[in-house]
Amino acid sequence: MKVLLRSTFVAEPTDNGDRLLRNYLALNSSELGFENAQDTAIWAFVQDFVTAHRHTPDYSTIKSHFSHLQSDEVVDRLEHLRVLQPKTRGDFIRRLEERAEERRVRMVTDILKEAAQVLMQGIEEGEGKDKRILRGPIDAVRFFLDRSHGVVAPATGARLSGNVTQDGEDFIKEYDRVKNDPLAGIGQFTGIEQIDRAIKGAKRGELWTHAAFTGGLKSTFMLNWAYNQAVYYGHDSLIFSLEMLYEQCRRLIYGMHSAHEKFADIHKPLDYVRVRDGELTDDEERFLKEWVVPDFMDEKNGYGNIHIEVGDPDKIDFTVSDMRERAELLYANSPFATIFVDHALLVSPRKWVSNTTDRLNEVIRDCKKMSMSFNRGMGIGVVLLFQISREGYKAAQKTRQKEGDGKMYPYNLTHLSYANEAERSSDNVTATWIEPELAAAGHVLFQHLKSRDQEPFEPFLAKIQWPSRRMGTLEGVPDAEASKVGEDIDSAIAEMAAAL
Amino acid sequence: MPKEKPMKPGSPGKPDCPLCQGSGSFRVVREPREGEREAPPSYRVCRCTLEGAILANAERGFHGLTKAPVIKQSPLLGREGNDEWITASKITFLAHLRHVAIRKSPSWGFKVVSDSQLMTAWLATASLKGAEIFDADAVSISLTHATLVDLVEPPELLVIWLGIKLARNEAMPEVLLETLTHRGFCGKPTWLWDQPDTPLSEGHRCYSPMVEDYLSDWHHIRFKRRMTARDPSPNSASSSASSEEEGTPTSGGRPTLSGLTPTE
Repeated sequence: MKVLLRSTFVAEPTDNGDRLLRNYLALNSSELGFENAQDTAIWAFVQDFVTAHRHTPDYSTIKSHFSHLQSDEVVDRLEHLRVLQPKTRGDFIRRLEERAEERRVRMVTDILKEAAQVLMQGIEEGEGKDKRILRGPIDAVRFFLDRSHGVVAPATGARLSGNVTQDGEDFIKEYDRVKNDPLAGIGQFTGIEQIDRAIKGAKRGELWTHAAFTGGLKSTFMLNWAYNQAVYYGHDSLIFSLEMLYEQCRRLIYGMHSAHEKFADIHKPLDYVRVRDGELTDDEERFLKEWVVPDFMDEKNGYGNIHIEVGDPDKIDFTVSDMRERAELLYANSPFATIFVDHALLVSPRKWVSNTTDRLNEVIRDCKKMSMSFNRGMGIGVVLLFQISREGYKAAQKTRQKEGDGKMYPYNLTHLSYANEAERSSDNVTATWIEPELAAAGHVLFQHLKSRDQEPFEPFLAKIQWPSRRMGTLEGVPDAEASKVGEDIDSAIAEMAAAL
Repeated sequence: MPKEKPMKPGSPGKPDCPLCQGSGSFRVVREPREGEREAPPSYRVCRCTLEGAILANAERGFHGLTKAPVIKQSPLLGREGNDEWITASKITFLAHLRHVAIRKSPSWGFKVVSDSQLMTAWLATASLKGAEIFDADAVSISLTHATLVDLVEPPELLVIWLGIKLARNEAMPEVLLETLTHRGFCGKPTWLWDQPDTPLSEGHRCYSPMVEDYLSDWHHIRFKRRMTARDPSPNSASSSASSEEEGTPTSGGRPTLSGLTPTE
């Protein structure tokens, strides 16, 4: 446990405060305790500190606090903890899981002992009027089942069941935790401002369906999302790419990294097609080999991992169960925050069904279940890409062609209607639309077709750099600037009229 | 301003633009939010593409609007978020609307529709229901808008041009009223535009006491003088509050915006 505690405060200049804060949040929600009194005191201080300041404390802050209190034993313990190597991300979660497993063994042992006591001798439960004696096999089994929820729940504190009407205390605890958590309610951001402001990222237990027609930038959006997660937020992602080869995804992501602003003064972004075809100039090749690739691999940058899984070549049918099995296995070694599935139509249903509609519906339903029950109820954000049919695309095209309605809504949910489960099971349904004019301007239109838990965002344009396939936020034009342009247009016309 | 065609809507920027190098947008840096190590990339539309985009948006809202006369100021500017009843001749109103439209962002979703289009969209609903239609305009039942709501709800600002519908249809005032009430329900502004020659009063195809009653608390702007394409003089307006407001044309037979060449 001491390594876990050490991993919640900053002691060395190389310690990453953001990651230590995530460690703190995971440890705090696990409700694991410390046996050592000094550790308990330090942990209590860390909890108070994060609640008050919304970041993890520095070693010197903790030390000065306990020095002031003349708690020499705690200070000694702190010195001992300081020299330990902190663990972060997957390493931390894994250690946390190990400790949780030990706790589970102790809990089960205790519960079984108490159940045996209920069976043989009987025990008193409750107080005052509610007091009653549990005795016999039925009470023993009930006793065991009641207390088993805490054992089955994952280490990160998710609940699998409970009586809501009697669960007020836990609810308030959860509320306080969320209130004091600077990252509460925040999921895995896309990196596109308008989407993140409205949805606040893909959250645990939620299914996010992103729809577009073929060539509608589904995979590009997904790879940009995973890239942003890794580079700008330091989070890991898992991509099930059933449409593109691993090498293709990798190539695209390295191409995107060549557009990172840190290289703006060194070289312009590389053209993905030229990377693919091995047609880079010497200068570009040097940029790729000496800057882009080494930087992306440099551990000092603290980038998150993007794990890409393609379908098992030995299996014809790759189902959501296969995905889940594989994902949970990978999660145990290296936890990730989001699962991307590219795309729904290429995932096989668990059992044979005769038509596309039923097949898709089952896949979408299973994806929702996976998002909610991943890793024994911990849950995870699942982003499912969905290919809109030609009929849906044509209908959207027609809508779009209703020239000048002052709206930008090519798609609506009916365009996904041959998989009506997309509408029912998804917490968010977004879509991208591209047409020649938009493509020429390097723009792509985003829409929010369904939002379960928040106000949907208005349709907006985002920027895409075609050579590198990098997407970014396109900020709106301020009224003052537009007004100035209008004035300039009028002035120019007046000048021309005067000249004529 | 260089003598070249304005760019098409959405086309990339000028190749020699020092800011965007022809990409049409440039990168801006924002402060990282909580949880971000650094802010993901953001872009802003480059000034060199804005002009074309704004003109394109004006044309989208009303075809030919960019060719309306240029005026120096307009009492309508700043009232885009309000319900307004405007009485003005065609050329005057379009000049003022143009003045407003080219000073708004390219994403400003305004749209000019006529009373006739409202009726056509309303008749489309009736025809879908299988009702028998007795209207001289029934031949033009909307193929693009299945319902009136389809037509009137989306625009950020809906401008209704009255006086286009000439054939009599007794439902016309109700259709107009439904449009206004629906816009009100959606919380979106509407500009109702009638002409001094055919004001929205008794005898107008769209008039009914209920419409009049609904409009009784609307701000009413009356442009007093009729402006012609050859009339460069100031064009004054008065609101129902009797305040004098001006819109001054700077040129008469003004150059068109597309290509910036002179035209009548």
